[in-house]
Amino acid sequence: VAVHTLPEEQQAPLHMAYFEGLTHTEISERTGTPLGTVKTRIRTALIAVRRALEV
Amino acid sequence: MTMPGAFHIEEDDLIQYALGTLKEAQLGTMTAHISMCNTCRSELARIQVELACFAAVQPEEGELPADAKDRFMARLTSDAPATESKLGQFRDKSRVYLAGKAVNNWFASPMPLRILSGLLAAACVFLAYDDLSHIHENRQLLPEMKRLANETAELDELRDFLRGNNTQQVTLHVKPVLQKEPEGHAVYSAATGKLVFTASNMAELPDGKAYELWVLPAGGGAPVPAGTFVPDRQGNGAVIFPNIPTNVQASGFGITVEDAKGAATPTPPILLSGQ
Repeated sequence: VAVHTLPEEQQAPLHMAYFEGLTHTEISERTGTPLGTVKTRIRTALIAVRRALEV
Repeated sequence: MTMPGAFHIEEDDLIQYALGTLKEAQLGTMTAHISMCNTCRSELARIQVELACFAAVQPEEGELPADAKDRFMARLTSDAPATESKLGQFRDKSRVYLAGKAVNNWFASPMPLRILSGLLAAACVFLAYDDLSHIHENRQLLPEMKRLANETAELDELRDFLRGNNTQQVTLHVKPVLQKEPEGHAVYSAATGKLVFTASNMAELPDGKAYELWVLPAGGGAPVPAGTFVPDRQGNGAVIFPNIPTNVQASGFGITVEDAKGAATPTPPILLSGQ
């Protein structure tokens, strides 16, 4: 799974955390997404980066 | 924040730590743990790299060519196994580029600066060659240095031994031949005219010769013959109760070599004498 293949809503939490400095809880509150989902999406985005680096 | 099992920080917390979105209270505790835990520290480093890469593929629109993001993403998502490390290819190209850039800059610099840099480069080459020459010479001298070091160690050992207190020093000479001197012992009584004489270590005499004992009178006068003897193979000889007049006070005794039958007067030299 590569970063750009992830849907926008999957990449958005990491984007918000990195560029806007939002905590997981703040992202959850802003997007109305459960906190666990936010954490999962951020991990998934990073895994995509990791796999891209391993090529 | 939780540290289950082997007390490592969970990935979600490490991600937040890397993102800098942790609360102050958690930050101190996690920083302390990370400083002590190699596992968490390496995991954090990996996450930081991944975040940096994520940020790198998130450029603002319009800053890059329209297809730049697509090309970069294509690289990241490429499933084809790389025949050569992409990072290595990039590094090689960078080196060629930097080398070319350096050459171009050098040609573009003012002439005095080019001359100066050329001189400096030549000096560096000379110094490097000089250093290499010295290194080569030093390597050639190594065996000789080792040999000298060994000799020095042996000499030090020899010096310490000769100066040591726990040594026994003995001087050897030619072994002396113990030659026993001829010797005689007389027991004499003037009143009775009796005499016993023993001799030892006497030299062997020619045939027809004998030692003769003489009593030297105290009042002067001619020596009185007191018997003859021929020593045995061990050089021992004796005269026991010879025929001597009585009342002849003796001032001494002497031994000469005479004919085997004896003599009336002693024949010099006197070999043994005593008083």
